[in-house]
Amino acid sequence: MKQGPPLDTLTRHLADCPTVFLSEPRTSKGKGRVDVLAVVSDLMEGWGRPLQSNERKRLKLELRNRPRARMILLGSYLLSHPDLTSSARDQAAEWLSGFQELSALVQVENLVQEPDRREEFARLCLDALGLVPEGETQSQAADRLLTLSSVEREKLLEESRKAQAEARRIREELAKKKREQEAAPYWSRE
Amino acid sequence: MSFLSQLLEHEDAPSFNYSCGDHLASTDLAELHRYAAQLEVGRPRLNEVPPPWLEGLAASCGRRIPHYRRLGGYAGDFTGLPLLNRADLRAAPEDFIDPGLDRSRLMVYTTSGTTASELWVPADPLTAAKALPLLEHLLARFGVRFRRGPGQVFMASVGFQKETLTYATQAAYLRGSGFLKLNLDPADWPDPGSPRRYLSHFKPPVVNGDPLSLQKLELDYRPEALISTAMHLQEGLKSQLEAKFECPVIDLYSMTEARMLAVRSGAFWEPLAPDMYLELVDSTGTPVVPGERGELVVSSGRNPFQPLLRYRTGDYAVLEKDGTFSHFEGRSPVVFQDSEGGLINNIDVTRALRDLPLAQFSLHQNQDLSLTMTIWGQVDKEEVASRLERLFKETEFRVTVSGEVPPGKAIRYSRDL
Repeated sequence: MKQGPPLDTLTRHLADCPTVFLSEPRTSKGKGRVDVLAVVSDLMEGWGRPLQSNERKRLKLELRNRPRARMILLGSYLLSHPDLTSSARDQAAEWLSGFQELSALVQVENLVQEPDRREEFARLCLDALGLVPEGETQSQAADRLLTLSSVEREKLLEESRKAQAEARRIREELAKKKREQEAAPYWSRE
Repeated sequence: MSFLSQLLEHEDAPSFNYSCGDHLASTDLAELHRYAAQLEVGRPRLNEVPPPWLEGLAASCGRRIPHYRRLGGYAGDFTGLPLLNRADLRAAPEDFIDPGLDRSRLMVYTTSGTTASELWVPADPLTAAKALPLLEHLLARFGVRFRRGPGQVFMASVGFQKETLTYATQAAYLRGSGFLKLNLDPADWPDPGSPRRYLSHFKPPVVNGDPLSLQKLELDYRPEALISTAMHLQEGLKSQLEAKFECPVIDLYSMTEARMLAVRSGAFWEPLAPDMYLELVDSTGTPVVPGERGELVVSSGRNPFQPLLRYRTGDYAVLEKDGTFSHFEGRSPVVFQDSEGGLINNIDVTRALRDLPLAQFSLHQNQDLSLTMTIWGQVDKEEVASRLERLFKETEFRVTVSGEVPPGKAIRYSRDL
C-alpha cells in the first residue's frame, strides 16, 4: 500500500463538508435536491476518467436506496479532496458502490459530525484506494480501522447476541435435564 | 427372578426411591475400556510441567468454550491462566459447554457443597460411568478388583443423610454386576437390623461412603475394602474402621465437579489419575515450590461438559518433593485466637483431635472469642474438651455431641472475627 495524505487533512475536509452534500438525493420521481449520479460523473470526468457503463449501472442500482445514495454523495465529496485524485481514479466507483452495510448502521450526518465516524469514513476511503495515512504502517492503519469499524462492531455484537441466545438455550436445557436426571451416577452423594 | 428384582425385593430391602440404568451405548463401553487402559499409563505428579494433553485442552477450551473464549483464548502460558472459581461454575454452567457438543444425553448432577447454593455439574452417561474404571484403578493399589457378571454386587455406596437418592442398578461395564446406593438412616428400612442383613446377604466387597456413614455401617462379612470420601477422615476413625472390618480403609479425595482427585498413602496424598492435572498454588495463582503450602487447583477435560482449567478446590496442602502433597486440609485455613491473644491454625486443631474417632465436627469461634464445637460420632466428649483446653487455654468453649444427621459437608472451621 502506498502512503496517502495525513489523516487529519481528510477528517478536516469532512468536518468542513458543505450542507449541499448532506442534502436529499434526487429520486427517479424527481423528488430531492441533488442528482448524485451527476455529481459522481462530473467528479470523475474532472479527473479525465469518465464512469464506465458497468460502473454507472451499478451506481444507479445503489442510488435507489436513499441512505446509500446519501453516503455516495458524501463519499464523492470526500474523494474531491485534491490529495486523493491520482489514487482515486480507478477505485472510486468501486468504493462508492460498496456502502450497503455501513449505510444500514450509520447516519450520514454522523460521518461528518462525530470525530470517530469521520475518522472511520476517511480511513475506509484510504483503505479502498490502497493508501495508508501518512506516518502510519500498514498494520497500524489496519488495526485502527478495525477498532473504529462500525461494521466490525456490529458483527461482534451480532456474534455476542447469538452466543448469548445459545447460552440461554443451553441453560434452559440444563434446567430441564436437572429435573429428569436418569443415568446411574456411580459416584454421587446426592 | 432377575437379579435386579432380587436386589429390589429382598425382605430387608430398603424403600428405594429411584430407578435408573447406566444408559451406555456399545461405543461408550469401548471408550470406557480405552479409558481404563489410559489410566495405567504414567503416575501424575503435582506441579509438574504441563503435559501435552493439558496444553491441547487449554487451546481447545480457548477456542470453543464461551467462558475461556471471553478470557481471550489460550496464549500458551498455562500457569498464567487465571484461577477458576466455584462461583464462575455456579453462576453460568452453560458458559462451560462447547455449543457444538451433542447434548442429547446430557444429565445434570448437583452438589450443594459447603453453602446452600447449588452447583450444577452437567455430564453425559460416559463421563458418569468413568467412575468405574477410576475406582478399579484406585482399588488395584490394594489388590482389589470389581467382580463382573450378574448375581453379585460389586459395590455399595452408603450415606447417612436425611434425604438422598437410593437405588439398585446393574453396570454394563461390569457385565451386569450390581450396584447399590443406600441410605443407612433407619427410616429407609423395614427394621433396624435390615441394613446389616441386606448388605450381608449381597456382600458387596467394596463399600464407600463418608466417614459418618461408614461409622454407622454394620456387616456380618469381611469386605475387601472401604472407601471413605466427601469429608476429612480422622486418623482415629480410620484405625477404628480398619480394626472393625479387617480391611483397608481408603481415604479418597473427591468432589462432584472434579471426581477422585487423590488418594491418601500414609502421611501423603497422591494424585490418582493422569487425566487430572493438580497444582498447589499461592494466592496469586503461582505454583508453590516443595515445602510450601498452597491451594489445590485442578485441570481436567474428563467431563467434556465442564472442562476445568485451574479450578480452585478451596482445599490446602503442602507440596512434597516427589509430586505428592501432605498436611491436607479441606477448606481454606482459619486462624483462631486463644485467650491470651495467641493464634491457632485450624491444622493445630485437626492435629490435636486426629486420633479420636470423630466422624465429623465443626468448630466456630464467636466474636467474644468463645468457641462452639459440635461433634458427630461415638466419642468421649470430655476427651475432646480437655484437648481443646490444652490448645486454647482459658478460652471459654462448649462442646455438643450431635445426634442429628449432619448437614452435608459441614464447614469444619469458621469464625465471626
